[in-house]
Amino acid sequence: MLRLEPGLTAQVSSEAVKGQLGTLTLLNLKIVKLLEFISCATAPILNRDP
Amino acid sequence: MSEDPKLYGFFVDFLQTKADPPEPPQHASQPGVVASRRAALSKSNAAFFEALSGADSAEISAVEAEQAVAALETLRVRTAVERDLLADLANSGLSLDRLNGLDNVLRAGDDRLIAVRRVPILSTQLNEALPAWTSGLATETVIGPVADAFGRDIWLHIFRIVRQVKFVRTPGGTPFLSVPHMQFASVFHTTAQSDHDLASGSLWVATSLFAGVTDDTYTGIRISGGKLRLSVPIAVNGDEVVIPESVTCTLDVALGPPARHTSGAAAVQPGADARASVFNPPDTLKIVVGPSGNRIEATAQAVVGAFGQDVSLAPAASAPEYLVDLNRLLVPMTPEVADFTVATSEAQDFLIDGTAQIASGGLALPASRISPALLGEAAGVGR
Repeated sequence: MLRLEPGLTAQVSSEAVKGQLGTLTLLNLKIVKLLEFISCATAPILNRDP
Repeated sequence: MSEDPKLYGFFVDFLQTKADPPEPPQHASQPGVVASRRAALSKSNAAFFEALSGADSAEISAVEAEQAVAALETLRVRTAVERDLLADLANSGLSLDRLNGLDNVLRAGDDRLIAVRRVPILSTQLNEALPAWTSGLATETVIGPVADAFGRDIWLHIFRIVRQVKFVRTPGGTPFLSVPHMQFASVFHTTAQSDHDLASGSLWVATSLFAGVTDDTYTGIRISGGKLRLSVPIAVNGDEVVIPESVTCTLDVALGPPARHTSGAAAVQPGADARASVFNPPDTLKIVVGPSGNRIEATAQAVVGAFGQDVSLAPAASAPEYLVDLNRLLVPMTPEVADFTVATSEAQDFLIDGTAQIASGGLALPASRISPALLGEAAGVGR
């Protein structure tokens, strides 16, 4: 595992925010907080009634 | 019954009965239908499902276990294999166990634990993903995705409890080391000896030896083999081996990472960056537990890499650190470069770029807060 200081930038496309969580592929970097943010952003969409 | 909408769909699906087949998903969104289903929840069902979701609850009763069996049988599966697996679980007898002071876990029969995952991410950091107690435990079977009442995918992860040789400081005490029975050639011998060979399999060591965590937290490591050396000869036989406080235990193990999953997916499909990432763990690890102190350290080089940059990590003698937000014990290693630069990225929807200074590095071993009586096989060798 590597712990990084701030410095990387990330852009998330609208398609990813629509629930394409499978595209998040940063397994060896500590970007968990970002994953949590994405999860929070998509939760209302994922959990909506069909 | 939780009012949390994230859990509601799962509860509703579980509460369907064979006599009352699930309505089409579009009906479930109508307020009247939702309200009537909610009203139909019995008090016992509510207690069971709150327990299943990790909330505080009383012990499950025989009646509730019966309802749980019926609920498992009503999950909408997509294959006959999944149907058979669910039927096997339901028929094996369901109960609730207390994992530790906080969580309950659904147990099938005497030897299997069940965790429910509601998002397509294998993580213990998200509420809807795997619970923290699964960190480091090898999944025996995954059933799913199966559909809940709203058509959402959920997965059931099945974990096998494995009989272990537990090393304790006092009879009946909390184990500081636990190894599956089958890895000892000497469990049926009574001869006291200093060196004990470990076959390939799992190694569980109490995380509290190295960091400030509760005694019921265990770090799991897959090994391809190793040796346990005791400073005085002791026989290793039976389920519990008492090692006096004055005795030093030294473990030299070779890590045995599981074969990496390769789906054969095209590079343009989701997950390409993960498939291209690099993780070569150190070949060997040393663990010392004794009156002069406890330590865990990598004894060979490792390599981690992502987005086109590989970083070598050299063994370091620093103290381990428990990472609360990752459920992991970090065994420090020294990065051989100062910066990490994104050189390539295959993702279409998540675009990452730039350079960042490397703050630290190491081998992050998973740590599970779980009763030692429920340990199974370890999943891997960290990351």
